[in-house]
Amino acid sequence: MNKDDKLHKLLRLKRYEHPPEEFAGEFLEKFQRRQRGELMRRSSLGLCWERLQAWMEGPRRPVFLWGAAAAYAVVMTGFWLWPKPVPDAATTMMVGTLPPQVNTQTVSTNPAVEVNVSTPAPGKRRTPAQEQEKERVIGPESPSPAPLRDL
Amino acid sequence: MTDGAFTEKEQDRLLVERSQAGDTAAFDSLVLKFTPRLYALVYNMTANREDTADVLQEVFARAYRSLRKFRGESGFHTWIHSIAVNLTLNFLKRRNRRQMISLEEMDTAVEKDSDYMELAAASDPVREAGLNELQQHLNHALQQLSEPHRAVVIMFDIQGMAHAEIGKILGTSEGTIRSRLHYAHRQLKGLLADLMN
Repeated sequence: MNKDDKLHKLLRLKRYEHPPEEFAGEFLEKFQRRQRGELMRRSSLGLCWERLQAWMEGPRRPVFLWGAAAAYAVVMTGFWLWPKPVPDAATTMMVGTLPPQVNTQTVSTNPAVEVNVSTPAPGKRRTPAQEQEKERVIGPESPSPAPLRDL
Repeated sequence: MTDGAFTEKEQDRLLVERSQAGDTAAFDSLVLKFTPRLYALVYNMTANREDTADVLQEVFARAYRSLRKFRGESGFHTWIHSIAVNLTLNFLKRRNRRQMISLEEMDTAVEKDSDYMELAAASDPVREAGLNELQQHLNHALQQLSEPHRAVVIMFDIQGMAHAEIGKILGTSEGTIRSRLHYAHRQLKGLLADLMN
């Protein structure tokens, strides 16, 4: 037996230094107590997040799920953060009390054709030529126009 | 790879998958299975059974917390051994010089071990030194090695791991492992010279 063999065999004897048989069971019990203690200390939100991550990172979850989840989160965040239109005083004034000058509206259903119709200021009548032009473009005036509602 | 080894790896993989899905009983099975092997590693590194139990608790707690990051590229055996080695090395750095040796009793079955009988027949000092003295000598010699060298000797000589696997566990090349082993053996031969003659 050479020195290398001798040394190897001597060192292998250290396999016989091991804890008593009951050690493993007691060790596991201690570990379980510790594990439960750690779980109790963590918040439920943290646990939910961890579970979600574990589910997403599971062996059969496709990678694109992460991308889809991220895109959904971005869209929803944008939706909630986007400023909502609020009717303000300026809009109400524009509908209810027209300014005294002549307004020009663009009236056409065809985007290629733009027709300008002049609206006279309150208290002034249209000329016959203006009336004809208006009827040609938007039809005859309704006999009882719907009342304007103040929004 | 033998069929037995493959089956064992497969069993580990299934237990890991179940643990990753939140089955704590599956993780308990892994704890029970790996406690003796990791105990041997940490105990021979620290030469203190109380410290060993504390470090092992931390090893399994760390493994449980990191389990979802485990992808199975290396075996669970390799992965948990690398956690154990790293935590033990960190522990030994902290423990520094306040080392207290507290050893396990050597199992009396050693007297029927073929290697022991062969050594005792071939060497008077081994035969004359009782089991306790032999144990003291071996532990003292091991504790003289630097920690990286000790880790390699424990995994190769005591636990019977291959160079490649030790390399994976320690994150170094096989060549480095061979070199460390060569250096450590040379040092041990000097330290155990009275038993070797």
